[in-house]
Amino acid sequence: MTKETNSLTGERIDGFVSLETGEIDRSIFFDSAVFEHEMETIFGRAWLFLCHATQIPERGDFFESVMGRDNVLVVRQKDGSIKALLNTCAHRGNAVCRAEEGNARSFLCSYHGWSYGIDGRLKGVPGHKNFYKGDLDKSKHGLREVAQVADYKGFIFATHDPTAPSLDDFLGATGRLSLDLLAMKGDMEIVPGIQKFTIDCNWKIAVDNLFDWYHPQVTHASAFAPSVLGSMLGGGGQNGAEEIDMTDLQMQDGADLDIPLGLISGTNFEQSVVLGEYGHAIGGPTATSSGNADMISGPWRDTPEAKEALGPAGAGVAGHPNLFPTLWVVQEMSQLSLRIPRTPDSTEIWWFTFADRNLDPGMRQFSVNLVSHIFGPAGLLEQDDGENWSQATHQSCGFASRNIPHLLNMGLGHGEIIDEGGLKRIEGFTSEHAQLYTYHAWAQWMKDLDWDELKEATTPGDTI
Amino acid sequence: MAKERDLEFTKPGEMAFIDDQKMMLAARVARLRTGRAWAEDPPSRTRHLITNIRVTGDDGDELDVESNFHLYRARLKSEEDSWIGSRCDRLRRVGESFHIVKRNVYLEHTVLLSRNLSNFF
Repeated sequence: MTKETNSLTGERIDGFVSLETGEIDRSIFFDSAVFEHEMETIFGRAWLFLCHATQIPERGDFFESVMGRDNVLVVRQKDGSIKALLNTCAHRGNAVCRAEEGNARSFLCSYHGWSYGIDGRLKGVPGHKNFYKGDLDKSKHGLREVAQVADYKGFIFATHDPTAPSLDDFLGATGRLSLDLLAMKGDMEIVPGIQKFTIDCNWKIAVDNLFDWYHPQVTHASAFAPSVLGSMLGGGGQNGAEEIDMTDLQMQDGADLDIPLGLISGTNFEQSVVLGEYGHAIGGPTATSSGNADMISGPWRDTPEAKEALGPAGAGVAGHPNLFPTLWVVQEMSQLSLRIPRTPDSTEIWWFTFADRNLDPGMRQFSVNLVSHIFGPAGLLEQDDGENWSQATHQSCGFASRNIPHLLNMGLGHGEIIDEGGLKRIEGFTSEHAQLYTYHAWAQWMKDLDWDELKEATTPGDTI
Repeated sequence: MAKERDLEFTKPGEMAFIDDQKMMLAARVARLRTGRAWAEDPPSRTRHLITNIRVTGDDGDELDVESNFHLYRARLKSEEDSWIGSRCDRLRRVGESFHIVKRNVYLEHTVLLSRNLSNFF
């Protein structure tokens, strides 16, 4: 039941990802036909995150978000509901709004002056009487609404596909848990200032990194150095560059690199991987191994509301969720990181930061500061990610280099999938199960299966 | 869109790309010295061009100084980044020189075109 588009047959797509060997065809990171196909079969159909309800609390508040290559105005309506409107004039295509966010009473096209209400209705057309002779039916030329919009606990999503299942079904147990890990930390609201930057990498390289608990000890070695993390958290040691001579820890003759830098940067701790329908996944430490609390929100998992929302199986999960395709829920920092594909080798990263309304001002300031020190383009951790992703994308393009598989076989064959309360999880240590499963799900999406087939094809089996 | 202009920059207490106290600036320096700060290994080749320096306040001990900057970065074989913006500094007279008490940096970008901000402004 596959369609042929851009010569990407089902057979060819099946060849991109192997669950048997853990090998991925590198061409999916640079082939423009693959990218075009993703824009249709994934970004044209999946529920995509737009913004959070607290970004647009008042009537006329809007935030411009992105669905594939469509710019979408998410607008709070008079009755409190939310509409998602394509930011393109029904006349000749011009954007009707050039601000990234704000408050509007109407949207005016700067080309010929067509004006629209915040509900997208076409209100004014210059020359309607004299030039159009009254023939233009304004009711047929409003701003186009995105096919479906819905929210889960204030997180607003939309899909271009009118036949897509409900958001709740799309999220499933894994997707709901992913958002609950942020939503249940308190009365969460957005902190103004969405950080946006551009990495010259393929979007999938960015996504597969979020599950990767193998890289921090090396990629982020500088941030975890005692003199850096210590002084970042106010622990002194500012002049400690000399203390952390790591030359002895360098790989020599291919020996294993084993940097004893503690929990977050290590690999030797208990992990839990959750795999869900439609390609949602969570990978990382268990709540127990991560200390069952976080620096900002404390032991939030112990509240009755959180316990109920997470359920007994979810309560133990503290890793990094990805809502397929591109929303990383950075629950420990109360952030969302949205990866927006622009071209095969260009991806925008948007960071949304949240804070509990009930946090005292000092703690709120601490949390806002802390997250900017960790993530975002200047974050001590994230600074070092971009170059890896860029090089991984570009080195994969070479005529000969492209024939080497992108390798995700760590733990392959050892992932026993436990089904508990609808959550399918694997317990163990660091693995590449979540990444591999994400690519497997990606391939199923790319085959343009119908929704029932897609759900079945992306339902995890007994092992991986 | 005139009324959206006051949303161009976030305010104190809201999100910024960089929101550092002295302690954090020291951490950034320490990071570069670890030999494992990959985004700056090998180090980027950077140049700060400073123009339009204006002293907008002077109470004897401290000065308010505004300037424009162009920070240029060449990296690896063929990569380039440019950031242009303004700096609003509070400087304190110390002997024959000045100490920076506070610095606000306003970038012209809304979506940064660089893959990181691994340098100092």
